Amino acid sequence: MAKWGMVIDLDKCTGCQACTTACGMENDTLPGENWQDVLYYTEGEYPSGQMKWLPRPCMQCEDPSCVHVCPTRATYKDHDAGGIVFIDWDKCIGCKYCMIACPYGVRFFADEKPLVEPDLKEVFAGTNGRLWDPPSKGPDQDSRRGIGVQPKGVVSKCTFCYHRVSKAPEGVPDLDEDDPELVEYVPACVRTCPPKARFFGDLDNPESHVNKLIGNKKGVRLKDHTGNRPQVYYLGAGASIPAFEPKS
Amino acid sequence: MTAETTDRRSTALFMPMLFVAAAIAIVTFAIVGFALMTQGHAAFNMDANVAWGLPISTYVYFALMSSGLTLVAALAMVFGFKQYYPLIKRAIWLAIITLVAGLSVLAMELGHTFRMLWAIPLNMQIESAMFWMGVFYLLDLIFMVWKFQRMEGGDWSSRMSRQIGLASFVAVLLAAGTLALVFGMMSMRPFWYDPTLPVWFYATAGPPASPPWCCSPISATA
Repeated sequence: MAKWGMVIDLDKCTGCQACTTACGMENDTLPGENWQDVLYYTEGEYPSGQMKWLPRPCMQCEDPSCVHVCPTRATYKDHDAGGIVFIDWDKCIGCKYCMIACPYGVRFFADEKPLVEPDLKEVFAGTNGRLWDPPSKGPDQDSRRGIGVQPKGVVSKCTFCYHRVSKAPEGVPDLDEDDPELVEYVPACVRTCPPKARFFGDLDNPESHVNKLIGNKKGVRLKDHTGNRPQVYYLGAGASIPAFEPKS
Repeated sequence: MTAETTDRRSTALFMPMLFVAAAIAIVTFAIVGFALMTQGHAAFNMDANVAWGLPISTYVYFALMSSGLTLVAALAMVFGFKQYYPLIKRAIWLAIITLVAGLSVLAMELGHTFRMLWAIPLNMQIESAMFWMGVFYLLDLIFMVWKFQRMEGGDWSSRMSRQIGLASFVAVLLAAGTLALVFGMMSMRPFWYDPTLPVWFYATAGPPASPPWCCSPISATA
């Protein structure tokens, strides 16, 4: 089985948030529940201050701390599904310990004040225990893997668009949106990225384009000191999270 | 005033006090229940950046107060400080009450409280500090109720009763310790990350448990 990984080239990323929008459309997430987000920072001070940004999906870590802390094993790493970290919505008790343990802040408990008014949870009120019923609801629903519209009271996260990726032919080294044969299986954020800053492929396949990018362009993983070992690699200048500086 | 009249007076007050306490509890839970149903967990001012809200700090306050009370009781139960004997029973009783209060508050934090009852025992995630916190606080509660039931029956110092007291002391050390580790093991949260946090929790468990004794007439006479 493949080990799916993502490579994000920060020298190409323009911070346009198309990935965030595509993710929200694909996975029926609420405003603010950004499984994929672009985080903005400012670095330095006038006159040399800079705006920086960092696209951030779930890292699908090789040794995920969220999995270790979950008291019900609701969140789990599925090696048979390319090493993707899923949440079993039927087992999640909503304790949010995984949100505390995740170093990357990629988990969401959408039971919070609405980011935009009117509250979409009220406009499209959920039925059958679902948090909401968006009119654009996708056909895929797999509560054992945290795919589809989430029920109330559980944590949700990026699934590397498993409902698409899982239908890819066995053994392909990369899922490239430029390949007409494979375009339907590419995760939404990768497929939509206008400057083609995202790449998706098999980290276990030495011939894959993502492995070559990581090797040739010195791919790095964020916060490696935590030992989580993400399956998402960053290329280019500024591939790190700026140090925290308290505001004076 | 004889012991008998004291008993009679306290018995006469007992039921009205229970009714008042029950009324306060019902009104409080009704307010919180209404807020939870109308606003959801936003009522606790939580969002994606602040995952744990007001119920967690309240839970820790009650849980540590309960642990501190058990530690106070352990001075007599385990370490033989006889001057603390008059305190044991009410300390254990208050420890039971505060622990139940803490666990009730914790239940409000969860997205699916009742799912926890089968999902945790059936899945046995022994790597999670939260799992062990639940196990040890449950043991702590069982031993304290058992010890209280023994003392209620007049058995304060039989071998069995002393062993139950010792067991509740060990359970409470493990419980407060793993509660600390729930926070202290999070290397990605530098504000909490600290291997000595259990010691800090033991140290802070005492003070909230102490004030009732400072002004208690019984501690003055003990």
